[in-house]
Order: sequence, then C-alpha cells, then structure tokens
Amino acid sequence: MIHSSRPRSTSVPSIFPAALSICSRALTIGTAALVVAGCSDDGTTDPIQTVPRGIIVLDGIIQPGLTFLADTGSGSTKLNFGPSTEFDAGGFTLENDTVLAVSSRGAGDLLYIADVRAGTVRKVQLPAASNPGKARLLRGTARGNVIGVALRDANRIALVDVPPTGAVTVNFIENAGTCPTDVFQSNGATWVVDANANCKTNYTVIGDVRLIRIPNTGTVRDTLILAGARSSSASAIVQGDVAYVSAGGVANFATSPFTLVSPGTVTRVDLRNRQTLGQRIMPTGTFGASTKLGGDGFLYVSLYEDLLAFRNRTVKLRADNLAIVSSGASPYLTLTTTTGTDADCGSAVADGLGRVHCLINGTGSVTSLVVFNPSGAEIRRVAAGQGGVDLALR
Amino acid sequence: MTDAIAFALLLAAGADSSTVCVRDASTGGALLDAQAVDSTGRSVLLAAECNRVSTGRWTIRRLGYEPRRVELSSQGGTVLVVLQRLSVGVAMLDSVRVLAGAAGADAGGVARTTVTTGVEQARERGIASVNGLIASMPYAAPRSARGESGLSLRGARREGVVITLDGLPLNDPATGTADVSDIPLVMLGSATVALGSDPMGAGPGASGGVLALHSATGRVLTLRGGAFGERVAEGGYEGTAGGARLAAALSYRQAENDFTFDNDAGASPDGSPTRERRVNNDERRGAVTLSAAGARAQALLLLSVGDRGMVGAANVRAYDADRSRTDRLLLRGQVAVGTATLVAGVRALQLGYRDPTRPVLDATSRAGAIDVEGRTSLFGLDARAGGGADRVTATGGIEQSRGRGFASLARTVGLAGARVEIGGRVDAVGSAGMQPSFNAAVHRRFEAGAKRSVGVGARVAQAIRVPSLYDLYFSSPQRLSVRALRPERVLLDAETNLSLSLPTTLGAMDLQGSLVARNTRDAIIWFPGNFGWSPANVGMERLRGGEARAALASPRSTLSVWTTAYHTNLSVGGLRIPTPYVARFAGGGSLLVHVAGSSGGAILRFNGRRPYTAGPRNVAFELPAVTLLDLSLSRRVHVGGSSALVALSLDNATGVRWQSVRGFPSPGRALAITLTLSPRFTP
Repeated sequence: MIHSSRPRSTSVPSIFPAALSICSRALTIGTAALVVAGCSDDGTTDPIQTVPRGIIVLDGIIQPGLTFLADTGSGSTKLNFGPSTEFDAGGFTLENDTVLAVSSRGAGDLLYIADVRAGTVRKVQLPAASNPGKARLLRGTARGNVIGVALRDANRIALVDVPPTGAVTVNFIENAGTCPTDVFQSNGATWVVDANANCKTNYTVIGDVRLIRIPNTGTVRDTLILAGARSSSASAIVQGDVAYVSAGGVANFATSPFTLVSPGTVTRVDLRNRQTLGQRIMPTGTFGASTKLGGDGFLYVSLYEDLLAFRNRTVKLRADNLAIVSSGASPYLTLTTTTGTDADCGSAVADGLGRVHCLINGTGSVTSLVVFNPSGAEIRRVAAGQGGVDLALR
Repeated sequence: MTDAIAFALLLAAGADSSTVCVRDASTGGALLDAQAVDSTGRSVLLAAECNRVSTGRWTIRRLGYEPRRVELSSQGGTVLVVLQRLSVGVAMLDSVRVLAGAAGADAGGVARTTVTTGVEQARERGIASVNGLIASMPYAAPRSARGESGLSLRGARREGVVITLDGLPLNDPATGTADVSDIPLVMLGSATVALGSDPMGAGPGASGGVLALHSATGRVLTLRGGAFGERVAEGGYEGTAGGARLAAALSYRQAENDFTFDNDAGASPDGSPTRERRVNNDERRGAVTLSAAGARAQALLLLSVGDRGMVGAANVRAYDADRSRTDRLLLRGQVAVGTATLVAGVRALQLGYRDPTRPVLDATSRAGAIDVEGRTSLFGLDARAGGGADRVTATGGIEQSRGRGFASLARTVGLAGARVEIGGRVDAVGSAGMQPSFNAAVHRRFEAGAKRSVGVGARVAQAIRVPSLYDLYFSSPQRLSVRALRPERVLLDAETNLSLSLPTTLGAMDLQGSLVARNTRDAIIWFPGNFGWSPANVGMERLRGGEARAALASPRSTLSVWTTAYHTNLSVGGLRIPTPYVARFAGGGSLLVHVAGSSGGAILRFNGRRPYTAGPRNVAFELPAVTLLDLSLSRRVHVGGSSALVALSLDNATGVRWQSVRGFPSPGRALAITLTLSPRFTP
C-alpha cells in the first residue's frame, strides 16, 4: 500500500543524496535549481520536484478528501474520504505517492491511507478515543517500515503495519509523552514530539514542547525540552540529522478580546547530538506556526497575523539559521494578487523554482490554488475544490 | 356565511336546551373554549366543539373573535354559530384551534398550503410524541440526532421554519431553531403545517413555513411501553371554575434508545460494517402544563426538563459519557381589551452540557425572550404591533441581546367572488434596521354542483430571517463588535395552487397541488471560515418545486397521499450547492380504516437522496433514499362514561437501517403499545 518507489524522473537535477550529512545541510540558495526534500532515516528521500508533478490539496471540511491539480491548466480531480463525522484532519503527510492523514477522537479515531496514483483510500481503525494527531511513514524501525501515528489521548504511538495483502496489525509504543502530536524516525530511534499539553480535556498547555527519543533497541529514553516552544499542537520537519519543530504558541480564547500568551516558534534541533541549535520566535502579535519545507530549501510558516481578524500570513525562513527572509519592513512574505491585495494564504509552500503555491478560501469556503512567482506576483489562480486546509507538492 | 352568524337548526334535541357548535368563519374549524353569557352576566363555558346550553338569549364570545348574539329556542336542536375573527383576514393560527377531520383538515379559502392533524387521530395511529406527530404529517421533513429534532418545510433550512405553541414562537433566539422534543403530546390538540413564507403571521424567520402547535388539554391518561426502553406516562385534567376552563397536564417519558445499528463509519478488518448497539443515547423528559381560559383572557404555562445522553456519531466514542439537560419555561397570556387583543409571552431555555470525563468542558447556555403584542381592527384593517427582546448568555463569556419590534397592517376583502388578502409588515430587530415585508394572496373557489368545487389561488410574499444571536457572535472572530451580518431576505416567495373537491363512490376526495418558487438573497450559511466555523451572507439561494396531495375520506376510512419535488440551489463562488437535507423528491401516504370499533393504520414515508454537506452535489456526500413504513392497530372500547383506546404500533416495520442525520443511525423496527383513557367530559 505504501509506495516507497521513487516518483517518475523529471528534468530536475538529481540532488537527492543518500548521505545524511548532505540531507541535513540547509541548502537555501535563493531561487531556482536546488531541491531539498525530506530525508529519512534510511537515506531515502521524499523528493519534491523542481517543477511539481502535481499539487495535492486536502479538503479537510465540508466534503473531506483530496483534490488533485496539475502544475498547469484548470482541471482537477477529487478523491473522497468521507463525511466530516469520519474525517476532520487539518493536515496530512505525503510520502511519495501515499497520503497519510488521521481523524481525531471527534471523528472516530481513524488512519486514512490514500494511494495517489491509484486514486484509492483505505481506513484503519485506531483505538477508540485515542485522538490521533499525525501519521508519518517510519522507515527502519524495529518493526520495519510502518506507519507511526501519535495518539494524543493515549500517551502512546501506534505502529501500523499495512502489508500489501493480509490483515493490518497495530502495535504500540507506550508512555510516549503527555500529548504526543508527531512522530518520526531518525538515527535508530523513534522520536516523539510531545506537545506537553492536556489534550485529553481542553488542550491546556502544561509546559514546553519536548522531543522524546525512544531507541529502537534498548530501553533508555532521552527527553529534550524545547524551551520557549509552547503549543498544544507541535510537529516536526526532519532533514536528516536536523529537525525543525513547530509550535503554534498559546492564546487565551476564554476571554474577550483574545490574548496571546506565548508566540509561535520554530526550533532547530540537532538530532544526532540531541541539542537545540536555535529557535525563531514568530513576529510579534502573531499566533500559530504551521511549517512546510519548500522545494527551494526554505521553510514556509503559515500563521495568523493577530488575534483580531485572524488574517493569514506566511513567513519565510532560512533553514540553516532560521532567519526571516522578507522583501521589506514587514516580516511576512509579500504575495500580491492580481488585484493588488495581499494574499490571504491559509497554507503555502514553494516549489523548486521558488514559486509559492498557496491556498485561499473565499466566500463559501471555495478554495483557490494561487501561485506566485519568486517576486511574489500572482501568476496562476485555479479552482481547487472547497474547504482546502493543507497542500503538498509532488 | 363568513361575515355573520349562521343559525342552523339541524336536528331536534332536548326541550329546554340546545346544542351549540361554534366554528371559525375563515376556516370552518371547530372553536373550543368559547363562552356563552346571558343578560344577567351568567356565563357558561363552551369547552367542547358542541355543548349543551339552556334556552334563552346568549352572547357567544371567544377570545380573538367578534361576539355574536344568539337566541336558543325551546324547541332544542343544534345551532351552528360561526364567529368572525377580530383580526380580519390574518392567519391567526395561534388563536384558532382547528381540529382536523379524519383525514386532516385543510384551512379552506386561503392561497396557502396548510394541513392540520389532530392529536386524537394521531393516538389512533399509536403516536405518542410530538416528534412522532410531526413525522406523520404531510410535507414535514423532520430529522433528529442526539435526542433533539429539527424540521424542514418547503426546502428550507430548519432555522427557516418557525414553530409556535398557541402563537408563541418556540425558536431559540440563540440558534434560530426550535426543538420540540420536550413538548408533551398530552398538552396538544392539533398541529398545523403551513408552507411558505409567513411574514404576517409568524414574522421573521418563517421563510420556509410554520408549524403551529395548538394546546388543548382534556381529561386523558396515556400509558405507553415500547421497544428500546420506551416508557411514557402522560395525564391531563380539565375542569371549570368561575366560568373559566382550567387544565393541567403532566408528562414523563424515558427511553434507552439502545437499538442496534450497522457501523459503517469505522474500519473493520474485513471492511464490512460491524453490528453495534447505541450507548449513551437515553433520554428522560418531564413536563407540566397549566392553562386557564375564559371568555376574555387565557394563560398557558409550560415547564419542562429533559436529560439525555449526547451520543456521538456512529464510530465516535469520545462522547459516550456526555450528558445534556434542557430546561424550558414558557408563559403565555392573552387578554381581550375592548376590541383589541393583547398577547404577552415569556420564554426561557437553559441548555447544560456535562462531560464527566472532561468537566472543564462543561458548559451552560441560557436564552430568554419576551414578546408583547397588540391586535385590533383599525379602519377595517387588521392592525398588529408588538415588541420584544432576546438575550443569550453562555459559558465562555458569550453574551448577546437585542430588542425588536414590529407593526403590520392587513386586509382581506371579497372581490368578484374571490378572497383577496394583502398585508405589509415592518420589523426592526437589533442592529438589522427596518426590514419591510409583505404578503398578497388571492383565492377563488368555484362551486360546481353539490359537493364539487374548484379552488385556485396565488400568493406572493417577502420575508426576512434576521441573524440568530449565535450567528452574530460567531461571525465576529474578535467578539468585540458584531460584524455586519445582514438579514437573510426572501426576495420573492411565490405560490400558485389548485384544489379540487369532488364526491366519489368511495367518499369525498380532495386534491391539491402547488407550484412554488423562492429566491433568497444573502442566505446565512455556516461555512468554515479562516478561524473555525463562522456564518456569512452568501449568494442567492433559489428554490423551485411543487407539492401535491390527495385525500379520500369515507365514513370508515381515510386515505391520503402526498409528494414534494424541490430543486434548491445556492450559487456562491462558482459553486452550485443544494440545500443540505432537502430531498429532490419526497412523499408519503397514510391510510386509516375503521372497522367495528377497531382501526388499522399505515403511514408510508419516502425521502429521496439528501445531500448532507454545504458543498456541491456529490453522491458520495448524500444520504441514500429511504422508505419507511409505520403500521398500527387500535381498538376503542367504552366503559361506563369513559373510553379506552389501545393502540399497537410498529414503527419502521420493515426494519430499514437508515439515518436522518449523517452519522447518527435511527432506530430499526420498534414495537409499542399505548393505552389512552379518556373519561367522558361533561360540561
């Protein structure tokens, strides 16, 4: 079910090195040719093409499913997941041609595995009320290649083995943090992103986000506290030996007006030496930090500009030092629509050409995929279904 | 006939008394609770449809109607007294209790599709709840989940339907919807479905139609036991004191609702649905009602409490311990002052949500509303004016309130044999500004020999639905100021109808059909916004369709069939979105046969495919078509002065596994037995 084969080759320079050292390097040279993709434990990569073969949009609400678009043209196809009582994910992970997403405890605790090429979707039942947070392909675990799912309310990680034929088996890593929200595999260990929040009740943040290292062999665990990183939802991007852990911050929504308690952060972590390399605090007054790694090697962080109008903004970071890349006084990426207004991108990421692909939801939650050239000018706008919440480039 | 009292000596009776039957001039329906007052001021309450009254000169009075003098002769007999409403031409469903005939009575002479069903008839079918009563009614499209119910009429969203109890809206000002699950059946005499916008009668919110519940408590005791732990005990008592009719009713019902269902939302190892049993789906409800009705004043008090499990969707176990409690207070008063009628009402609704596993998530919301209204006849016009206020508070600092007021003028005239209604109304609600609306209708009935007639009618109206208080709150993410969410406006609600009455060898047949069109601007829809769900005014929503119904009534049986066809379409952002849960085609039928004190009944309901999302039409996001059959057998026996009705009902007789709300399975086959004792009422 999980396609580990490489995607079809394109004219992209073949910069998919097996060496972890290269993978861990932040190649953040401006515009064009360099491509950096997620590198995994066994040295294989999940490459993003310079020119994407396609764009996948997750319709997380209304009619959940995936909308597939090409890099040109206006056509799209839809793969239905199911009603919102069965699917409520706000994001997904793309592993080559496989999409992984999960439903929370409010939608039945399900793992969705979609085969992009075949246009099929399969559901796996996870423990009731376990409140899955994120799913990711884990290569090279003690149980081989499995899908890891962080179970927020169960304090454990589900390891889902989906053979090509036969029954699915689910095993667990117990005591995996207070609220595990993400999981990945690196350096012979399973790493758990623990939001350290009371996810079982109201997601109150208890303390700083933690990385918990659980070795594939042996019993000694390590916990790395990411000071200043606070959120009930934290996730990681892994580049070989480096992880970028995003934490959206904390806000008080119980009072009016809403108040910001802690800003969002992106923390750079050296997984081999188990230490923090640096942290970027998001611009003053902003809330949230949902990070994607662009095909151009930069990090693209989607967040809300403030807690009043909740305007969507995108912050572009250098991967090597987390410096903000902006064209002016504003810390935000300048993305200008054809009408001259700033784009309200709920989710954005760049391809290998530095073009930024972004999702904009308009009236009626009608979703548009809008593409901007490296200068930030709109060059493409195409209908992309309804209720789009996340996107990925293939 | 409709403009004056009609006296008709129909048959001989006692020598010193006559039987007086009081009817409404507009509808011909029976009027209860009228009062006969003689020259000395002595009054007799005419509580029933027909009452024995001693001979002499009497003035027949009833709240909301012009009084009429009548002289009852010593020859006895039955006298039919037709009373004219004070408010000429306005559909005062609130003050008119129309008891249905065996087939369900239509309000005649108006260019609007209305159907009334009597509770007594429903009891013969083994129906013992308001939800069951509504589900049995033509044109009504109810749906329920988690123990609460919603109703769609004429392709409208449920917040586009106003549900009234004796004219007082039951819609929650917070959500704009009405859940009548806690209204006990024992306090009702009948229910009327009236399709189409009703700006004059119900005011804002009634863009799809009105369900009018009419209270009527008699001496009755109902006991019921049924599948899935259903237990019902309801009792009503009425008597007279000081010339007024006093009535009280108590109701208690409980159900475990632990039926089995096929869980196809999960992921079983072999991919097939798993057979499971609903848990935390129980409900317990209690209610008490008190009412007093005299010739010039009446009052109604309703107190109800309900506790139910808040079971989640089919595969969701996170809510298996959650509970909800609903408390309702409703007080309504009406008094005649000179030629005017004053109506006042107070409503309070408290919803408590409790999550034992996560007490921090416990929440309580309280909604309250006050209504005051005056009605009178002014220069031949029916004039109404009123005002009120709504307030909502809820855990989390939610606090919203607003005032409202309205004034309306209406006139009904006869013109070339036709009945012409025209009226205008202006509402001012909170910050929504002045919102005018109007209604114009013409109806003509052509007699074609004995018992044959053809009616044609047309009606156009405008209506508004102001944002609910939750709409306003959640449309403004910062919660500091209310965003300019505009009222939803029905620019045009047009209807033409044709009705035909004719005798057949099987009985009297009534045929009725309507073609309808409705354009709604700025529909208030809850689409996901950039921060959670938020409502917005979006696009233009259009409805085109039609309704048809045929009823055949004979002394021993009644047969009714109906159908609706609606095409709804909301245009927004290049998408064309059908209205959720509105089937393109729906229909149903009912049969009730009386044989030697027994009756057998069947109700068939068909619902076509229904979209359940606010997205484009997509078969993957539609509920499948469903056909449901309810069967009943009943027998009435008379013991002394009382009667006993035993009804055996089999709901969903074919055991269809279906959902009225996506994700929430409905019960399968359900057997119940109901005993209704009705002591004879002697005024």
